[in-house]
This record gives sequence, C-alpha cells and structure tokens, in this order.
Amino acid sequence: MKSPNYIAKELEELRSKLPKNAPVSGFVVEEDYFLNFPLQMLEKVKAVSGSGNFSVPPGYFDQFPSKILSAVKTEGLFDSEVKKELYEISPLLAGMVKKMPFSVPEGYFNSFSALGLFKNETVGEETALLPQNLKNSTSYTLPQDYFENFPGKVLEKLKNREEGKLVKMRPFYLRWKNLAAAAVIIGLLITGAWFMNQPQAVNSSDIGQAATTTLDEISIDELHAYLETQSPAIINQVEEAESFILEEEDFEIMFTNLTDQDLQGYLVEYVGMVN
Amino acid sequence: MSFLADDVLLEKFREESTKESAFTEIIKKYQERLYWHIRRMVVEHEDANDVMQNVFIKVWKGLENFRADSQLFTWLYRIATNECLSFLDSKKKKTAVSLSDHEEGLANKVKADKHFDPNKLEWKLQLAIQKLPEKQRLVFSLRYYDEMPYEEMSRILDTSEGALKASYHHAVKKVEEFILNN
Repeated sequence: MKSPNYIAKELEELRSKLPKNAPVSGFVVEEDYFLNFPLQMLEKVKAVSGSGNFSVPPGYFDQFPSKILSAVKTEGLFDSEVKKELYEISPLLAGMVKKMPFSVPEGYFNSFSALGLFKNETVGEETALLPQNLKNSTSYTLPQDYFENFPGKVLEKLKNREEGKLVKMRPFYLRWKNLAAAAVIIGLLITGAWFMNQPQAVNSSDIGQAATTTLDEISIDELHAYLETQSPAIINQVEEAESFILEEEDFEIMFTNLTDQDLQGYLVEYVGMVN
Repeated sequence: MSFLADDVLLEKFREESTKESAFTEIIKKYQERLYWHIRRMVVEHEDANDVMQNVFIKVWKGLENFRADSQLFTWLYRIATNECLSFLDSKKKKTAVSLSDHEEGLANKVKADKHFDPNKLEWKLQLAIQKLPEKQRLVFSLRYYDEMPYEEMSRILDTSEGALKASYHHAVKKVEEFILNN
C-alpha cells in the first residue's frame, strides 16, 4: 500500500498538469441552499409520516380509566328503559326517592304483607340515584278490609240493580189529544168541502148533521186518497191516529174522569150529534 | 298470592256456574293495580272507591264480549282510565269551575291529607303531579309509577307513541320545575 504522502505527492503532480481555469457547471444554486436543506428535509419527512398532526390533551391518558369506570357504573344503574329515559330528561327526578308520602293503614293489604308487596314491585337495587322501593309504597289510607270486601259489594250492587220501570214516553192524554185532533181536522175539511159545494146557505145546526151524513157516505179509501193530497203534517197526524191502538186500560183512563156532560158536549161540538 | 291465567278466568266467566267466582277472582287479581291508578288521578279514597265500583260494573257487563284482542289488563286499564276522566269531567261540570281551578282543587285535596308535610320532597312531587293537565297526569302516572311501555300506553289512551313521549317529556319537565321553584 502506498503511503498517504505518496498520494498527496501524486495529486500535486496531477494538479500541475491541469489547466488553471477548470470548467464550471452551468447550474446555479441559491445561497445557503445546502445549509437549509437538511432542516427542510426533516420537516417534509415529518409531514409524510403523520406524526405531530393530532394532539392529545395533557393528562388525557391519566384520567381515561376513571372516566370509563364511571360511565360503566352509570350504565349499570339503568336496568330499565324507563329509568334511563327519566335520567335523560330529568336527572333531578331520576335521583329522587320515589316515596308516596301517605301511610299504609294496618291490614290494608290482606293477602300480602306491606313490605312483601314493596319487595315484589321493586325493580333493581336501590341506589343513590334511582331508588325504587318508595315508588310503590302506598301513602293514601284506606278503610280496613277494603279490598277483601270490595268484590262482595260489587256483586251485591249488581244483583240489587232494578230493571228500570218501563214508562211510556208520551202520556195518554197527548195520544188521545192527537186522535181527537185528527178527527177534528178530518171533520172540518170535509165539512168545509161540503159547505163550499153547497150554493145555498145552511144554518149551523145543519152543518154538523151534514158533516156526519157526508162522512158516513165516504169510504176509508176515499178518505185516504183525499189525505194524500194534503200536507204531510196532516197525513202524519192521521196515520198516527190510525195506528194508535186503544187498549183496555186506555179506555179506563180515558173515561175515568169524564162526566156524561163532558161526553155530550164533545159529541155536540165536534160531531154534531144532538139528543 | 297466585291467580289463574286470564284466559282461564275468561272461560270460567262465560260458564254460568262459575261466572261469579271468576268475576271475584278477576277483581282480586287486578283491584289494587287499578285502584292505585285511579287513586292517583282522583286523590280521595271515596272518589276512587266510586270509580272502582263503576269500573267493575262495566267489566261485568262487557266481559262477555271481550275478544282478547288486547290483554285483559290493558282492557281493564282502559275502562278505569275512561271512568276516571268521566268522573273528573262530571266533577268539573257540577262545581262549574275552570280547568285551572279544578287542578288547584286536586292539589288542595293532597294538602288536605292528614299526613301532608309541605317540606317533604315526596309531598311536593304529589302536588306537582296534581298541577299537571289531565292527560299529562295520566301519562306521567302510567310511565313513572307503573313503568308502562309506550306501546301499551298507546292502546290504553288511544294516542300515538310519539305524542305520549312528548307528553311525558313535558310532564317531567313541569314536575321538575315545580319542585325546583317550591
């Protein structure tokens, strides 16, 4: 191996043979380019790898376990959708003791012990946030043996219910009145028609006689045919009067308070019958 | 205390020989749940007793035709709820008071209880509940005390689940506000 001195000596010899003005490349590099280059490269490398873009709050990882534990505990308290819903709407109400403020009378529940019922109705364990037992405590007082006697009372009431008395809506006098009104209208109409057809004047005593005579001569079918041309109100009254069936008790009621004079007066006034 | 299943009770009710005993069983099975539901609406025991009797008379008349489209308890609850509302309506008409006066009247009934203590939170809750409008009071009572699912509540009150959820939300907020301000 040649010694370093020999190499240096060789380079000196070569340099002396090279031209004084060595050729220069045509490219120009800005000043301090190479000085700043390493720093620039480092920044570029960091950007590509992604490190340093997302920051983590200080102490985040220290607090993380306790936060998770707290959330898990809270989630475990909501053993029903209802409790969770209540907590979401109103943490205040959800945290309240559900206590009915009224006391339970002794012997109120006959079939269960008071505490037993509360235990049966309790949902989940009582906690500071969502206690359940008091929700079901009865606070209103009740008479003794109320529930024991209640079914019997209801059955008794059902048995003792009386059927409503059947009462005819329309009293007899109204029905009799309609019948009389129908007879009057028919009589008047026929009398009027007859009167209109008679050119000579007739005295009032003859009108009733004439009406009666005319009525006797007219058949039921003719009457119906005549009434069909009349107003519905009159037809209704007549149909009602026709369909009305007088029962024996109706006759009894009808004539109970009627004197002979009343009957005679009716016959004279409306039918024209004279003794 | 164990009771027979609803379908068994219904079958016994339809038999003339076992009708009364089945009816008694049904009353015993559901009387307390229905009673408390009614009592929370009408407050006084005497009124609750009247409504209870009306309810079970209607049950007696209608049970023959009950077709089990819904659960028996849902059907009973529905009758009880309607009877409560009818009772409260008739009370309003008899006393000829305004809606707000009626709610005030129920709050006064709570205050009239011999154990009433205005300083205790549970009494404030009762007062707050009685201040709610009728429908909200119903929804709150069914959801808060009975933890009834909205689906079942919808069948009882004939209201959509969405409306019930909104009603419950408002009711809870009003109760909370009352408690905080009193």
